[in-house]
Amino acid sequence: MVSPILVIALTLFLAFSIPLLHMLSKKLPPFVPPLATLINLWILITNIKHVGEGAMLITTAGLKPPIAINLAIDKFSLLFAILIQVIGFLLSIYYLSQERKDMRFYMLFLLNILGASGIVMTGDLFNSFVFLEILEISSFGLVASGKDKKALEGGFKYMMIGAIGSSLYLLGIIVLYLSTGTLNMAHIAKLMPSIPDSVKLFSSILFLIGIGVEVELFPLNAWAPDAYQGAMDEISTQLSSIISKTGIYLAARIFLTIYGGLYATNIIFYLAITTFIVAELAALMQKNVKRMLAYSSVGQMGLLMLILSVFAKRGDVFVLTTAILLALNHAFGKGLLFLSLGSLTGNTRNYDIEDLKGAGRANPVLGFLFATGVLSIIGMPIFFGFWSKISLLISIMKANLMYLLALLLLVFLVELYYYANVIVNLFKGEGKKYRIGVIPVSVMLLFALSLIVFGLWPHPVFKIAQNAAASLMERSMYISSILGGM
Amino acid sequence: MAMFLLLLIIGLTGLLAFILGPIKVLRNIISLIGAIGGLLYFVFKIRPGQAYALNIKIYNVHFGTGMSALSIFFGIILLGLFLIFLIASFHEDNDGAYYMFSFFSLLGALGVLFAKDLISFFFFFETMSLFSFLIVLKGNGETSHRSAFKYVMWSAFGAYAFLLGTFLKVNYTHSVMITDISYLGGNIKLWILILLLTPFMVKTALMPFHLWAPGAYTDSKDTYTVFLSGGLSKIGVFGYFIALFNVFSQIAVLYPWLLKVFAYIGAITASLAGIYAFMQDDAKKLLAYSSISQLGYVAVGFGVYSHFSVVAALFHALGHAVFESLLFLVVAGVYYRTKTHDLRKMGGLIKKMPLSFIGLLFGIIATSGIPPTIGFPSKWLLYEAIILKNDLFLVSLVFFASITAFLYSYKLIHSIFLGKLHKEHEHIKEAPFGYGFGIVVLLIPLFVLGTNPGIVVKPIDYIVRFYLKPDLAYNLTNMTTPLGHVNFPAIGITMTLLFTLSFIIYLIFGKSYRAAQEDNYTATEWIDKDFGLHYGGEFYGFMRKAFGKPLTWSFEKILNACLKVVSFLGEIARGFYMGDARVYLFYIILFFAIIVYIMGGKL
Repeated sequence: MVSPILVIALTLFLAFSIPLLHMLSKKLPPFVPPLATLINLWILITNIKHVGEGAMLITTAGLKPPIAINLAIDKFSLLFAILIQVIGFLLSIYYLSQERKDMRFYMLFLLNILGASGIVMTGDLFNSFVFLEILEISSFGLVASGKDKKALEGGFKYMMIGAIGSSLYLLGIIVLYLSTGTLNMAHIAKLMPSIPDSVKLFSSILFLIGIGVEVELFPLNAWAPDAYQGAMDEISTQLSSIISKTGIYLAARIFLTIYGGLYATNIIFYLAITTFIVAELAALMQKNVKRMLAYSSVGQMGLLMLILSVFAKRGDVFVLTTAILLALNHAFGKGLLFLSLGSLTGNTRNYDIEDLKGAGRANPVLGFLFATGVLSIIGMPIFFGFWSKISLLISIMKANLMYLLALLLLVFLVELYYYANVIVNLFKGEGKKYRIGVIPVSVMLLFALSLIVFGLWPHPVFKIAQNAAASLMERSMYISSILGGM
Repeated sequence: MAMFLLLLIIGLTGLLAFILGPIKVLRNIISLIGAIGGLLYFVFKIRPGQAYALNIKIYNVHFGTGMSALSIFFGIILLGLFLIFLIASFHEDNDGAYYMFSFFSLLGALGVLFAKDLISFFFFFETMSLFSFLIVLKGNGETSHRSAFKYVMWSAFGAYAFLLGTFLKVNYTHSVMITDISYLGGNIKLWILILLLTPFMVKTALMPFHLWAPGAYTDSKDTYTVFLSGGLSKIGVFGYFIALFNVFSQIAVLYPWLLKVFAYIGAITASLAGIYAFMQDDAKKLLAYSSISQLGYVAVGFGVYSHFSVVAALFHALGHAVFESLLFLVVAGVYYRTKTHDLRKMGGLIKKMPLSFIGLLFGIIATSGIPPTIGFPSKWLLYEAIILKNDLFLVSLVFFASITAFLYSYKLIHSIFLGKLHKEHEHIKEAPFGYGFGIVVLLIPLFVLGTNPGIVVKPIDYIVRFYLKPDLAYNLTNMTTPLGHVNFPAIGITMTLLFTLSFIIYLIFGKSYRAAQEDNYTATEWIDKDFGLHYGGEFYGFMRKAFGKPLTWSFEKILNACLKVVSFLGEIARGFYMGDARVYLFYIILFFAIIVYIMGGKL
């Protein structure tokens, strides 16, 4: 067994060794991120069998919790950590095909992965804030690293909103610390019954806004379309596949594990529905395909938050499993969409729907990749998205929210409308042919194949998602495995 | 297991066809073997009552694939038509992906027939819609993209309605299986029934859900239209049966008005689509509307809901599969030679393409329901069933629809095969083997079942007898209903004899002289030999004047108004995201204030 703490230490070390390596040879930095993520992946995989019921505790400084900072990894965190490394690895391979003079980009990328992995593995609330800051600040940099004005605009907006969000998050932590005197997540969770209701409520509102920015909840998500649109395509992938998924993890961990159920469930429930509807309607009118995908991402995040709040209303392990399936589908599907859209435009950054005419017919492989992403996102059969969508509907049915189900189906029709429009446009008339390298295509093929293979054979993913969901549900197990005994 | 293996065979063949895409000969052979093998496997291995469950663990939903006799009935139609489509399609310039999509759409359709529970029903239904959408998208028409878009949107509309119905049913009965819901309390069962019926009304293009059909039928590749119209629309008929009998067996007791509405919708569809059909100048569009019109009869049959009206409906579904496919196939063959679907640009092809002419001739005879073809028994039964219901208005509507069938049939055959030959068509040959083969093969059931309907009525009766009180006596060639008795071969022979007799009388006494195809009367005006004088341009132009007003009424306008409302909402939603950073910060502060205000009382 290799200690998972190495994931954090090694990534940090490799990130800061990039400038040194750059001095040695200018060709070395691009190879560091794939190496780092691959090692991380290996470390995490060796740990799979050690994570049993409850959480695996990794102490630092030789002190037992709740004293020192420690990592607490249960199956839910492990799943997200592995997801982050897999997407990170694929993306870093993708970067190998690009000429990039600035080695600082690779540092930012690794720091971003570090922040995300840190958030999903830590067992300490303040520590999670630190990692959140690392994640956000590196994201601002990544978004703004595009070469044009749009990128800077998106990065700036993201930074402004993100900074407010994370400071409110910190405020929430402070409020909890004042009333419990501890920062350990498990310990706070254990002391939760003794906290006065008003404190619980106030702190959960602060957390709601802090995390709401990350998970793109309705009034807090105004930055998202600009950031997604402005960022380079790979960074948009990272935003939708890694960064926003980290937000979901944080939401689940804080509201479900620490609070033991969503406080202000109804508020989140209605906000999530609004997010979904507003985003899908906004996408309907969008002529810029990338911004359309951005809205669609926001909408999908709304769905995810919706399903979490449905879980809080009617707890059922199936509902949580659904949330994980949706997250996985979105991570792979939307990631694939952003990547292949970039190639379909020939990296010209011109995403107008009219200019994409015939691009899919001229580049059949890219057309296939994009179509796979779309079909999985809209939940067509034989793609993985079908199962996540069906289980979403089943969960909502089980919670007896039939009106919501009808509403969702109506909005899915809107979603299909704009996606079908793009697909039809891609295969209309003659387009320009683009040369693309072997590396990007094979990376995208991996994304697409995973969607198709697990669409046809979903058992293993179900099993994994179910285990992860079960471990997230076992709140008392989490607490007792960290603090020892009840 | 057999059903699962069949689906596997079909799916793998499609995949192989895609992989072998560039090597044309090998690809064609493989897909032919797959299709024939599938058909043989189906005929010899699949029996009623078989069941197989593929366990997708997490839902505890079994992918039950059980069989009923009805599934076998429709399965043979589907696989047979697919084979005919496949052989003809080798003449077209298609790539491997095209064959993969078509095999997958077949797989979806067969899966629907096999499904025992509603979720797997939905799964296969969506598979079928998805891949037929992709095929329409690959079509050759200039508007094929628009058509494909409409097709997928309508299919999805139907599918989502079905899904809502499914979940409503599961929520109330706690079972995803296709089981009877008529014992449920309250009005929810009515909604479930209507929702479950929606996708099938879309699939059979019942008005007002027909808006996708003319486009999709016209713009899909010619040979695939044979399968799309003849084959895949049968899934809709299958669905009617499932919804009206298996899911809601007590409909005649509980909601007789719904059946009446259904019958009227069918009759109106049959008449209106018939009118639309003879207004068309595009051969495929004409046939598309004809197809919609003919499927309207099927809906009437289900709506009348007596034993032999349902038998007639199912028989007509089979008939539709035979003669509509035949017509589409002939038009495909003509297109292969002339490169046009425009009726105004064709004419006089009778001597150039005699086999196609014969195919079309008997095709339209069957469409009009004249003995001794397959169109006759079903229409005869259907009329009797409606007359027994004493619904005179319905009878007149259906009769009117039959008249329109005569009109568009005549337009079709006249514009393509009769009259003056166009100069550029002088060197045209008969359609190639693939098309001819299909025409000959389809002519066999056209006559055999037209004179011996008992072959098919027996299994259909076996299916329907289970649900409705039988009031039809029959053997191989005879049928007896409460209204009377009919002997099909006798009628066929009489009809043929009468026709021959009048033809002979016409030959002997008719005042006519043999005119060459180029010989035209032009009233003192001397015209060039290659001046087109074929009467195809304003065919039934006077009808257009007569029916002009109703033709401008369109369901599409209502739809567009809805779309406008949604677009307006979309603009509002988009406006939210148009600000700069200060505006977004303001949102957050406002949000914080509102939340604290709402929750304030509890703090």
